[in-house]
Parts: sequence; structure tokens; C-alpha cells
Amino acid sequence: MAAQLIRYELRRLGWMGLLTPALVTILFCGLALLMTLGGADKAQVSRILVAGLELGLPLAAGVVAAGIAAEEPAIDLQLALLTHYRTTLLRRLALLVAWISLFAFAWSVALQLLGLWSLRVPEPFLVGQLVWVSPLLWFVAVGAAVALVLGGRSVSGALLGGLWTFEILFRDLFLSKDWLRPEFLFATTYTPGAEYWLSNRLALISTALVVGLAVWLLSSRTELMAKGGEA
Amino acid sequence: MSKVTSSVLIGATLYEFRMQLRRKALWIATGIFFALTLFVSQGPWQFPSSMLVIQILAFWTQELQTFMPVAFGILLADRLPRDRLLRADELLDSLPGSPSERFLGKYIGATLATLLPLFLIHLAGVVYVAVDQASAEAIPLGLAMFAAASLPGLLFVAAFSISCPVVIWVPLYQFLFTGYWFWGNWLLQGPQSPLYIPVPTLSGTLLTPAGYYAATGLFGVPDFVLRATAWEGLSSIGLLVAFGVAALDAAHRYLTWRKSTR
Amino acid sequence: MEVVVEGLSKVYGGRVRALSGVDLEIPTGMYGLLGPNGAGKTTLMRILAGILRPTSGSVHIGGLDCSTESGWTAVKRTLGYLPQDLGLYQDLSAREFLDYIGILKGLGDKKERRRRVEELLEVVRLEDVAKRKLKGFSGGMRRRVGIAQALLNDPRLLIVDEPTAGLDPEECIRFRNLLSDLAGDRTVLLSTHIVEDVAQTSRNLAVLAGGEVLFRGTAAGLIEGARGKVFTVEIDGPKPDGNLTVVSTLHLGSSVQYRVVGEPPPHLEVEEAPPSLEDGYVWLMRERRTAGVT
Repeated sequence: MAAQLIRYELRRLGWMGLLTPALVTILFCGLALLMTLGGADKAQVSRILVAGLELGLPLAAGVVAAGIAAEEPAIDLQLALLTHYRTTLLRRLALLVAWISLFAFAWSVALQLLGLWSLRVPEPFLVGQLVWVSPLLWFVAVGAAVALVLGGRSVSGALLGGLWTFEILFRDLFLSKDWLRPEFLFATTYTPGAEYWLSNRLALISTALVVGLAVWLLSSRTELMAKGGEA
Repeated sequence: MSKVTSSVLIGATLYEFRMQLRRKALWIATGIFFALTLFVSQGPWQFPSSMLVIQILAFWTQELQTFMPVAFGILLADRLPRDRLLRADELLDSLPGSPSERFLGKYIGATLATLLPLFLIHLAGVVYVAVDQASAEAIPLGLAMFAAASLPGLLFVAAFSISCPVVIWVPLYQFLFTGYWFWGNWLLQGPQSPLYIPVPTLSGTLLTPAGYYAATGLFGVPDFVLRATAWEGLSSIGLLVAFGVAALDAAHRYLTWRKSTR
Repeated sequence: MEVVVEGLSKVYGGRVRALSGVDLEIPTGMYGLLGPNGAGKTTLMRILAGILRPTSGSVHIGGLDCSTESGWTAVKRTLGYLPQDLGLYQDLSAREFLDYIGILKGLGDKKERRRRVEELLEVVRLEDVAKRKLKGFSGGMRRRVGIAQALLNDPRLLIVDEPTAGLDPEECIRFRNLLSDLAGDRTVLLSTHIVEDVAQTSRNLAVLAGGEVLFRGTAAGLIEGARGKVFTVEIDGPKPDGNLTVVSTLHLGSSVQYRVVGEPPPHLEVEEAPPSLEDGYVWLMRERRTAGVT
């Protein structure tokens, strides 16, 4: 039954949802190729490809997660079913994370095989996976929470995009304030080798878990869900 | 322009304007983005008094143009798919007037509505500068700065945000647009920077919608992001508008083709 | 499975009162809920389906208190619900959609679930298009998918909100018969503004308007209320004037026959007609409006 349910949920996500991580991968690989042709060195190529893992895939996942949380065409039916809608929503978000993780892990393995991984990412290899795990969980949880609170895909997409741009453009602010540094999403890309890297990654996961709990609580409120609609 | 054409265009524009203006999302997103802008940047009341009025106005314009257009672009991206989602497209297709007027009306109406909160924020800053500096000319200058440095880039962004979702899934466009805004405006690290990556970018070119070519080229703002000539400023405006028109035209042609093959 | 609703009220956002002190006892069998648009029918259906919480009042289904989590969970096991506006997943086929909803309804046995899905596809006559993606379905076909999903778990309580909207006449008749057949040993609550749906299926009914119950009782009782108030009049001029509601117009070549509900003026030549459920409903609504005016 679980396998069948997963199959249906993936079909429900649609081709575009499933292809999004592949498109992000192609986009960053294309950039890396252009850079290589333009004479970039190995460290620079490594930087853009690791940035793709840390900046690209998580943002894409967050935007898709916001769409999942904001739009349920059969919401009235879902809320009347024996399986709680919160369980269904969490299952969908977990599947999205798993699907994106497949791409991200394959991406990491490819970088490792090409000798580009250790140029930017702390060892050991498995701990290094936090490069993408932490921002991925953060973006998915925040995307879903914002969509549930504000009730719309557009406003959640805008806020995620805004936060992403904000953290990149004003990274110095995040890095200079002790209370903001744990929430800096792109520590591997902008401060490689920083001593706070691991604590930063774990802090992001903690935030994602807290926000995930909020998503669970919000989606348990059937009346809030039933209202639905675009903000 | 025939009577039907103009009335359809006006009707579509007014309808889209009102619909977009009534969205809570527009005000919430703009409010949050503005709060973040103020958190990291200077409001017009924080600039040193030694700065020239033109400099203050240019920096104020630039600050609002830094990342608020991300919200602007994303909030426009669902306008066209929305008709399909609400199954209103077939009803609209059956109405008098060609799809061109409706499409153009959608662009103008939704863009003006999304622009309104940004413009009001800009204007508030300009009025503050005028009062604070006791400079009456700050008002026309600030409005001209908005028209030359902000508006072309925003119209360019709006054209792509209305057009691209015709063929691109909205969440994917939201992702691509966010990435584009950074890549096309702010990827300016020089080769001497440790963060430099030799990636091809539109940053620093005339096609940068952030508007600093027009600000320096046309208003001669000293000590700004870069130095540009008046010709470069005009070229930048022209290119942004031309690319926007091309995007709208391509989307319109595609919609017409799709309708004819339906 | 008896449904007992006591003093049910629902206020949206502290301002809009959708239901006001509704009391209903819905016995096993078919039960019709009639009312104009905006009467509060869908709000009542959504409360009974566990989607909305009432502002005040109580709901007991089969003796279970629906204000408790355990009560609702038990009710949901036996509930079939067809919402008024059912969105479907565009990328799934009808068969996949039904199987998916079956899983979420707790039908764990794969073989049994598949058998049930095939059975229902046949019942709603979608077996030939079961593999087609739902995005290609017409409005009526989508409605039939909705009906099939409501029946998946063989519900003891079936709540259907405007089920025949978008169905062709033949499908309407088939569906009404299906509901009547199902109602033998279970409760079927049919909410509609199409009087014919109730007339053909329900002995018991309630009429809701403005969030209040205007009538509860049998269809015969509602019909009886209009006795002596329904007339036919054949004239060759314009519609008869006076305090009358025209319920049908039939052109007969040189003259027009009107069926009217109300109190005709003495000068009008009319013939009394036996009332139908529709006449009873129209009379009730007229009475309400009159009471509101005076």
C-alpha cells in the first residue's frame, strides 16, 4: 500500500515537479561547462557546482513545497477522509525531500568522483552532505509554513525568493552578527572552511524541525485548511 | 484603434488592475520586502547631510531596486495561468475583442497595480528628502529618477513575468526568476575577489534592470555604482523596453498559435 | 445511522451568520435538504463531514459525539462525502484517483480495493475511460468520479452536496435511483436546490433558508402546504398579474398556459391544480418572503 501511495503522490506532483531538480542540475552543469570553456580553474568549477547544491536545489525544493502546501484541489474531500490531511501533507513534503535528495546525493557523488568535492566541502564525505541537507530542509519547511500561514503560492514564492536573495546580497550582515550566523543558509559557498560550518548546518536543521512542527500543527487545523484560496 | 479595441483594452486593464490591487499577497510581500530593505539599508533620513540631493535620491532608488523587484516579478507570474486555473480562459476567449487587447490589458493593469506600492514607497522617500533638504526640485527629480532608473527595469521584469509562465510552470519560473535577479544584477565580483567565478552574466551590462546605467548616465550621479554616459543610460532604457516588448510579443504569438490549434 | 443536530450555529469571521440554531433529526434512509443558493446547506454539509467546526450546538452521528476526536475518527470510517466543488488531480486517471482515495479511506486490502474500484467504475459508467487522465474529463464525468469516490468505503452515512449538477438527464435518473437503492439500510443526505432530485428520492426532507430550518417533515407534508394555492391559467395575453409566482409556462399556439402559485385575483379565470413538491417549495419561499416583508 505504501509503495502504491508513493507512486500516486509522485504522479500527483506532475512531470514539472519531478523534473524541476533535473532542470536545476542541467542549469548548473551548463554554467560549469561554460566556465570551463572560458578557462575557469578546478576550484572555480567546484565552487559553482557546490553552490548549485547549496543555493539551487534547496530554493527549487522550497518553491515546489510552497505550491504543495498552498494548493490542494480536493481539499474538502481530503479533510473528510479517514487519513488526516496533515499526514498526507507531511508525506508529500517528505517525498519531495526524498526526491530532491536523490539528485543531490548523485550530484555529490559525481563531484567526489571528479575530485571537485573536497575542494569546497569539509570531510568526511557523509558529513559533507549537510551542504545541501540543511538548506533543503530549511527551505521546504519554511516554504510550506509560509504557504499555510499566508495561503498562497505567489506570496510564498516571493518570500522564499526574497529571503534567498536577501541572504546572498546581505551576507556580511549574517556573518557579522552572532545571532544571525546560525541561520546563514549558504556558509559553504561564501565562507568555505569556516569553523562554525557544522554548528551552522545543525542550527539550520533545528530551525527546519521547529518550523516543520509548526507546519504539522497548522495543517491539523481543518477549518484553516478548508478556507484555502490565494492570499 | 477601433471603439471595441479600446474598450476591451481599457476594460481588461481596469479589471486586472483592481484584481491585483485587491490581493493581500501584494501588500504582504511588498511590506515584508520593504521591512527587510530598511533593516539592511539606509532610509532617506539616514544619509549623511553632506550628500547631494541627487546622490540621496539615486541611492534611495537603488536600495528599492536591490531586491524588491523579486517580489514584483513573482507576484506577476501567476496572472496568466490564473485564468486557466479558474477556467475563465474559455469564457474570456468567447468575448468580443481580440486576445491581443486582453493580453496587453492584463500586462498593463497587473503591472500598474504591482508597481503602485513600490511607487508609493519611493514617493514617500522623495517627499522626505524634499522636506528634509528644503529642496523643492527633489520631487520632480525623484519622479524622473523613478521613471528613468526604476521603471524600465520593472517593465522589463513584468513583461517576462507575464510572458514566461505561458510556457513555464509557475514554481519553476519563480525559482528561475529569483536566480536570474541575482545573476543578472549583482554577480559583480571582480577577478581579484576570492569569490570571483568567471561565469557569463548580464550583471554590469546595459541589460541590467537594476537601473544604475540610467541613474548615472542621465542624472550624472557622482560616486555611484559605476560611471556611464548619457548615451549608455538611454541605450540601457531602450534595450530593457525593447526586450520587454519582444517577450510580450513572443508570448502573444504563442497564445494565438495555441488557440488556433485548440 | 441516525444523525442528530441540535442548536447548530455557524458564524464566519465573527460576522457572517451561515447557520442559526439548526435542529434536525435525520433517520436512516434518504433525506433531502432543499434550499436556495446561500441558504447554508453547504455549511451544514461541511460541518456534518467534519470539515468545519460549529460555532455552537452539537452533532451526533450514530450516537457518536462529533465534538470529540475519537467520535469523528469513528464516523469518518463510515462516511462517504461528495463535496459541492470537488477538485481532482489532473495527472491521475479515474482508476488511479479512486485507488488513491481508497487508500486514504483506509481500504488496506489491495485486491479488495481494486475490486471495489472496478465495481464503482462500472456503476458510474466510466470503465471505458478509466485509464484516461482526469484533465481530459468533462464536467459530468468528473461528477461521476466524485460519486464513485464517495461510495468507495461502502459508507453507512453518505453526504452528497449537489450531486446531479452537470449530469445529463439520463445520468441524473440513474444516479437518483442509485442513491435510493443505497438508502435502504443507510443514511443518505442529499443537499440540492434541484427540487426534482428530492421529489424523486426522499420521503423526508428539510428546507433551509437564511441559515434557518423553514420546514422539516415529509415530502407529502410540504406538498400539502400548497394545496389550494396552485392553479393553471390559460390566457392569450401577457403573464397574469397579481401576487402570483409563475412556476411554468407552456405555449399552446394562440394562447399560453401558466402554472401559478399564490392567491389569484378574483377576476382571473383559474383552475386549481394538484400541487407538486416544487409548488410546495415555492409556496414556502413565498410565505417566508411575505413574513419578512410584513
